[in-house]
Amino acid sequence: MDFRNKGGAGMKAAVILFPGMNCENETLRALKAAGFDADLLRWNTKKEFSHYDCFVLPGGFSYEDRIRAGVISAKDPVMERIKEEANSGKPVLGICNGAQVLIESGLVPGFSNEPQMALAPNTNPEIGGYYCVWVRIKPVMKRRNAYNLLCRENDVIDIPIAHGEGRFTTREDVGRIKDLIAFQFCNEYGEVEDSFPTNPNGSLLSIAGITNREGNVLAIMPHPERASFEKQTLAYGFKTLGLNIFKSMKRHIEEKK
Amino acid sequence: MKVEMLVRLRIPDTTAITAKQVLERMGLDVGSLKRADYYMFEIGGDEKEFSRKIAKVDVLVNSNKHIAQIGLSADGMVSVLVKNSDDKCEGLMHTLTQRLGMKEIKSIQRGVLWTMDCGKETAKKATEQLLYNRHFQEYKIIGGAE
Repeated sequence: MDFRNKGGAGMKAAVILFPGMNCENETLRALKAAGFDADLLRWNTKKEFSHYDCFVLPGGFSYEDRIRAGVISAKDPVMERIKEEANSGKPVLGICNGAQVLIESGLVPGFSNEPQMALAPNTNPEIGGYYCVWVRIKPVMKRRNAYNLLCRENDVIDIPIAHGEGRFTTREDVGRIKDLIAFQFCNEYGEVEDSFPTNPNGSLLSIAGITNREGNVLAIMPHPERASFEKQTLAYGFKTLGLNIFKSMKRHIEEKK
Repeated sequence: MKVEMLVRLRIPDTTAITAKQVLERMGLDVGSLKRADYYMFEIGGDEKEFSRKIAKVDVLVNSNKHIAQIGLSADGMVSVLVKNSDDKCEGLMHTLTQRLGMKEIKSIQRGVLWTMDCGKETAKKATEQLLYNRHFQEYKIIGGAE
């Protein structure tokens, strides 16, 4: 299927590309399949952001992960513009390296301008460093957010991860962030298990994705754009439930308009 | 007995250059900024012999692009050692003791040593605002003037 010209009229998404990110095209494709009219914008763009309904920071290795994954991008002036848009209620989705940028910028969980969490190196009893595998996640439905509107309570989403620093952790009060968890690693029955391989990176509370308090900014380590099309999932016998995360974002914007 | 080793790049260190640029943009002038991988080995055995051996282990030091230095030099600059709090160095320990037969190693610590040409207070700000994340790392300031 060719989604290049199938963007949704009127619903505009911007994919923000920092140097070294490399998942921009597949993210654009997923956004277009979900019904967005999506543009790719570079980090140094002068383009007006107010024309866009949502923003996506894709995966990759921005600034070669120098110092810590995502931290250089998090300090870039464009993040101040993204923060303004997020504060106005627009959805901001960070996938993998994009999630690392959102965590380092403090946008998620968003209690202050300082980072209140970290995406630390994986703890994995079998493979140190970068880990690339299909895992399962489940949406946490007790709290509505911009990314679970089209998910169902019992959904088990088969989805790939590909990261070396994806372990959500914090020295904050865990109680403060518990309610913000949007997706958790789970087994094939949708049960959360804190042990490897169900929790593939040692994340606190099996967190795969977490939002800010308002639920419009999501940092998610697995790649929903890689579980959105049959050509990606069919060989494994999986469904394309990753696309529902993008479609939920669109539904959220429609509801707000 | 403890042996400390620093491993620096001979070639331009793009991470240090980027870090300095970001700190300048954040309004922090740290003067020159250098970065080195830091290792601390607790060993049983001859210190000199071990130091000679470890500086040639190509898992840690590629002589085409790295320079190894045993011990921390007191050059008057301020240094900040950033370590991941729960890094047990298990993989490196296994490689050095099992594959390379360096059985004298009892434990390993590692981190990144940032060296700056500025006061301690500026170094502290640079560290807390950019060079470390308190949720999984710790840091220690070494040397330097107030």
